[in-house]
This record gives sequence, C-alpha cells and structure tokens, in this order.
Amino acid sequence: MNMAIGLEEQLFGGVVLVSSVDTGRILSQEAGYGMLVLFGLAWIGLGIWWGRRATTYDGFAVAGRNVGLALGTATAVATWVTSNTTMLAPQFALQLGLWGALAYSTASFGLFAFAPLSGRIRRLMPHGYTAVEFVRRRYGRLGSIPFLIISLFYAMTWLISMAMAGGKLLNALSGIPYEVGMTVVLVVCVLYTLFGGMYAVIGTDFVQSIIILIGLVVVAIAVIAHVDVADVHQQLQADRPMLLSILFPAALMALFNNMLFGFGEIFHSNVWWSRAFAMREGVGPKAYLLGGLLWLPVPIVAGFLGLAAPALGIGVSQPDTVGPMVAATLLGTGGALLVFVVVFCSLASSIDSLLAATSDLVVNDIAEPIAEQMTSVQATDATKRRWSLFAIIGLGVITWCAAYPNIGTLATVLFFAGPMVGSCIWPIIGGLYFRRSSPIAACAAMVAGTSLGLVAYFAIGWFVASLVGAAVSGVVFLIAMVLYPDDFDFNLLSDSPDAPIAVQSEGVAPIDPDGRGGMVGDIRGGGETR
Amino acid sequence: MWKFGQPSGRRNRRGAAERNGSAMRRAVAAALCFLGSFLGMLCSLGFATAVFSSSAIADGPETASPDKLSFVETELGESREGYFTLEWSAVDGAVLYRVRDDANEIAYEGVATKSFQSGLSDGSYRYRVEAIGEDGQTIATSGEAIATVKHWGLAPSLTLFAIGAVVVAGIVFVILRGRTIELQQLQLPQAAGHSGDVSKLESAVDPGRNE
Amino acid sequence: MMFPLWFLELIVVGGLILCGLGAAALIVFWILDFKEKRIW
Repeated sequence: MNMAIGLEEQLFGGVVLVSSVDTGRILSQEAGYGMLVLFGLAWIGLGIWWGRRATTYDGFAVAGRNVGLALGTATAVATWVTSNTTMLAPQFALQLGLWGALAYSTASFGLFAFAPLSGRIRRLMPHGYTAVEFVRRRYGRLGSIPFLIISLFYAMTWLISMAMAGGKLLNALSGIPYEVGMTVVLVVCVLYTLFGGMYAVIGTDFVQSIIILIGLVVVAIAVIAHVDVADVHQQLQADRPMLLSILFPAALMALFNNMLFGFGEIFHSNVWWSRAFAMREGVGPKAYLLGGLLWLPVPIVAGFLGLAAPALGIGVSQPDTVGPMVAATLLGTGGALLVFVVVFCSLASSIDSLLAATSDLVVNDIAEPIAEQMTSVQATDATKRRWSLFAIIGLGVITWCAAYPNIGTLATVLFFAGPMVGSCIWPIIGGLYFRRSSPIAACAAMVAGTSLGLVAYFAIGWFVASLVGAAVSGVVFLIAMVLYPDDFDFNLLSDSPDAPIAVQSEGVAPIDPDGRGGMVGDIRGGGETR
Repeated sequence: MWKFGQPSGRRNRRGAAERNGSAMRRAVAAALCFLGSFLGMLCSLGFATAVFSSSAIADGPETASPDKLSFVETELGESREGYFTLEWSAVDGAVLYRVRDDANEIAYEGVATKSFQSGLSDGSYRYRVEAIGEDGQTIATSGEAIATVKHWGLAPSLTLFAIGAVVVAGIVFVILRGRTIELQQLQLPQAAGHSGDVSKLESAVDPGRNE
Repeated sequence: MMFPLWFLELIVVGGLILCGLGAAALIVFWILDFKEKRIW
C-alpha cells in the first residue's frame, strides 16, 4: 500500500509538472471539449424527448403532478448533490475535519424533515405551483414580500455559485477556460429546461443521480485502493490533529448551523416545493425519505477524498478543488473522464432544477400577480407557458452576467444566504401546522432572523449565521404568534381552478375538534411515511 | 410596485380568454424591471462579500519581482478555525515550490504559489518556502511567515451547539406533533362512521396506496 | 479527544456501501415503476 503511494507521488509530480498553473490537469482540453459536447447534446436530446409530454403549463411546471417513486427519489438525490457536494464537502472536511464531513451530511436531515411536509403540502394545495404561492395565501403580502426576496436571493446565489463552480471545475479538470466552461454548462441547462420543463429536469435527474452515485463509489474505491484508511488517520493525527478532534470548536459550531442551513434551504426553496407538487399523491414523503437516505453517504465519501489528500502527498493549494483533484490524480485518464462526467451531472442536475423552479416563481409570483393587477384578467395556460420560457432565458442571462467575473470563494457566496433561509424555517412549518401563525409573526421572524443572522455572519463567521438566523426567527415567531394570533382556515390554501376541489375539500377538513394547540391536520389514508 | 393576489381570493382561470395583449407586455416589462433591480441588489451584495473575504481570494500574485521569493503576507494574523492560506510570489525558473514548517518538515509541495494549511491546534507556526529549479536544486528561499492559531473557546462553541440542538429539536417536535395530529384526525371520521363518504375520502386522499 | 480509527473506517465503508445500494435501489424502483406503468 505504501509503495503504491510512493509511485503515485511520482506520477502526480510528473503530471503536475506538465501543467503550467496551480492544478494538475489530467484531462486534455480536447477530451474536455469532447465530453462537454457529448453530454451536452445528450441532455438536450433527452430534454426534448421528455419535453414532448409537456403540452400544458401543468406539465411544463410540475410534470403533470404524477411523478412516481423512482424518478421522485432520484430527483431529490440528484438535485441535492450539487457540485458543492463534490467541491465543498472535501473543502469542509479539510477545514473542519471529520466533523465537517459529518456536518455536511446532516444536510440530508432536511430531506427527512421535508418528507412529512411534502405530503401535507401536496394535499393542502393540490393545484399549487410554488412556495411563494403558499406563503402569499397563508400570510398575505406581509409575509410573501420578504419571503419572495429571500427566495430569489437564495435561488440566484445558488444558481450563480453553481455556474461558477462549473467554470472552475471544468477548468481545473481539463484546462477549458473558465468562461467557456461556465457558459457551456449554463447554456446546455437552459436549453433542455426550455424544451422540456419539469419533465426534462426530473428525467435527466434520474440518469444523473445514477451516474453520480456510481461514479462516487468508483472514485472512493480507487482512493481506498491507494491508501489505507489507517494511513489517512495516522497522517491526520500527526500533521493536522484538529481535523480528528471531537472537541474542535469551530466544527462544533458548524454542525447544527449546517443542519439548519439545510432545513432552511429545503423548507423554503421552490426547488423542493415544486417537486412536492410534481410527485403523485402519496409518493412525496417516501421519495424524500429515500432521497435523504441515498444522499446521506455522499458528502462523507466525498469528504474522505479531502481528508485523504495529505496522506496521498497531494499538496493542497485551493481547498475547494481538492476533491476532484484527488480523484483525477488517482484515476488517470479514464478516471478523469468519469470525474468530469460526475461533476457535469451534479452541476446540471442542480442548475436545471433551479432554472425550472425559479422560473415558476417569476411566472406565478411576479408576472401573474402583476398582470392580474394591471388587467384584472387571468393569464392563460399558453401565456404562462410563454412567460416561463422568457423567465428561464432571463435567469440564464442574469446568472451568466453575475458568474462571468468569477469573484469570491464558493463557500462565502453561498453561505451568505444561510441566515436568510434559516429564518424561513419557522414561518414555513408554523404556516403548515399552526392555524394561529400570523402574517406579523412570519414577517417579523424573517426580518429579525435574517438581520441578526447577517450580523452574526460578519461578527463571528459563516459557521454560525444560519444557526443564529433560525434561533432568532424561532423565538420571534413564537412570541409574535402569541401576541398577534391568527385563526387561519386551511381550506383557503386549496384554491382550485376546476371541479376536483369539491371532493378534495372534504378530505382536507380544516377542523380542530379537540383544540390541540391550534394545530390542524387533514384527513389522510395513512401509510405514507413508514 | 406590485401587488399580490388576495390570499383568500378564488380565481376563475376560465375567464382568462379575453386578455389584453399590451397589458400583458407591460406586466412582463414590470417583471423584468423587478428582476433588474433584484440583480442590482445581488451584485452589490456579491461585491460586498467579495471585498469582505478578499483575503481568501487572490489570484496570481505575479506582480512581485521575478527573482525574489517572498510570502505575500509574512504576518498572517490569528486564525480561530485552525486553517489559513500561505501565499508567495512566483519565481522564474521554478518548477516546484516546497513549504517547510519550523520543524523543517514539508508542509506543502506543488506547483501552485499558495498552500492551504488546516487542522492546526493552538500555537504559533513559522513557514519558509523554497523554489526548486528544473535540476532539482533549490534556487531561492523565502523569509519566514508567521501564523497564529487560537481556536474559539470551547464554552461558547458548546453553547451554540446546544442552542442548535434545541432549535432542531423544536422543529422536529412541531413536525412530528403536526403529523401525529394529522393521523389522529384521520381516525376520527372513520370511527364515527361517515358511511357514504369513507370510500370517497380514501380514494381522494390515498392514491398512494397502490405503491 | 480524537475520533478513533474504527469510526473513520465505519463511516467511509458504510458510506460506500450505502452509495452502491442507493444506485441499485434507484434502478430497482425504476423497473418496478416501469412494469406498473407509473413512472410519470
């Protein structure tokens, strides 16, 4: 085992010396371009193929609301495996040690927690499209304006950081210029989302999630074949002892921060709500539970790549590309192709989801209300469909403009959204489960949580921002709910354009006969979350 | 600038046939305006972040004179997380850089002009960087860079850890309790024997059973 | 206080196994859904 490491060091040294800049590129530019074209065309082709189903706006925006368990689970996994999981998880592990990898994997708890919510969302709003739509009906304008701003800020930061990650990663792996890589990834995603809407997004997610999981297993096995876990442990103990420390202060602070960041991201983001709407009744909770279970090991395995870097003798210059570099170094050309594909898949599966879900926000929560106010006429299916095309292209253009200058480290940009999404957790679960949650409580919670969370971000660090945001907003929310209680009728959420509401609303009884804490639940058939 | 629909407003999408084209266009324009202003906000925030974290960025310190090898910053200040990035000037003819710590052990070896150090415990750390030429000879050696690591106190960290645990427990409690009450509500009408409605209800709310 | 070696081994090997099982499970779900014509 140790001899193999020696050989690898030589190999790595040779490889590194070939490249001029700071990263050892294993894939030639030609191969990189070849893979880009190949997979770009494949996704676009699949997008068009699946997109033929999207004949109505319902089909385009929420895939006909009939997605089954296989695609539902896969889309949860693929969307949540962002390129950050391949870049940030190893970085996290290298910065915050084993706790960092564990903290990253706790983001899957968000999927677990969203499982029961998704079932309730689907039943309360059988015709809904977006999270903002829920907040608007639940809390009115007072709640929906801060929520819309937070949603858009989060979606745009995620989208931009993902596009930047695309440019950086493709550059690190194959030397394709940052601008070219970023542009191609973005254009491919815009094109297939444009053609196929949610059908294309969920369909490609299935293929992408399988590629990601298998690719990760292959890479990790290669790492273990080159270096013993015991060697990694020993090397860390000698050179970077804090990475193995159970009482690593910054890592302890980051643990729940990261979990709450994950909760906030999933609970508030329309990416997850639109999937809850898209899945067939009864599928959502199972798909989210299984998705969380499948996602859980991904950051740990990816984080191990980061922890293994010192033991493999790989000099780390930039922590955010350490994962792919370790993988590409160990696996040679064939492996580099695999890493390239895995990275491309994890980028695409998140960018497409964001484009689709955010364009729904723009159409349903910005354009439609404005149009309604100005013309007092409902937008037709065809109009909304056309608007979503404009929205997807517009989002692509905005993302491109913001990602082009390539500023900031990934973690810094993304974690800026942490306190914002953390402050949305309580308004969302309160709004779904308490009839007493009031607009004032929701608004105050979001504003106070975001503000104090940002203060903590600058005063202490990113690793406490979401935690402070969630804690402050929780306290504010509960106090304001006691001071200004509401008495909400959950039936108001199930606004329906057509007849089915008659049957549905009997099932969604807004009663609270026992007056248990102001919580209500609707009637359901059981067996969703076993 | 814009208004949202009323929360309780029931809509009739069928009445949408007679829409006003120009008004729609205005609406789209308004939406674009909103997005534009949003982008402005985002960009300014992004720049603020970039400025704030500028110590972490830095691309290419190639401005220094070519033959002199030196750290960009020789006093790195205090790291409270146990990690920092060492950065040095590029040297002509160097094919490899080697960073050594005070025990003369290699802390980094590679072609980049920076090195990421992490996982260090409390203390002060001194580094030197050597530039290695093509023939394997050391062609330049830098002066020292000093970094100090002083981790956050354990007490405040554990306090935040505890607060996090309480908040997460609260969230899980609300969700589980809401879920339980949902399930109890399910039992009620069945126990009361809503004769005619039961089958209808089940088919309406539980197509997921065919799993 | 350090994380012991067995813990690191446990999460790495466990994570690998879970990843592999996950990929297999997705394919099995897809076949089941496909047979009963309820993919979409």
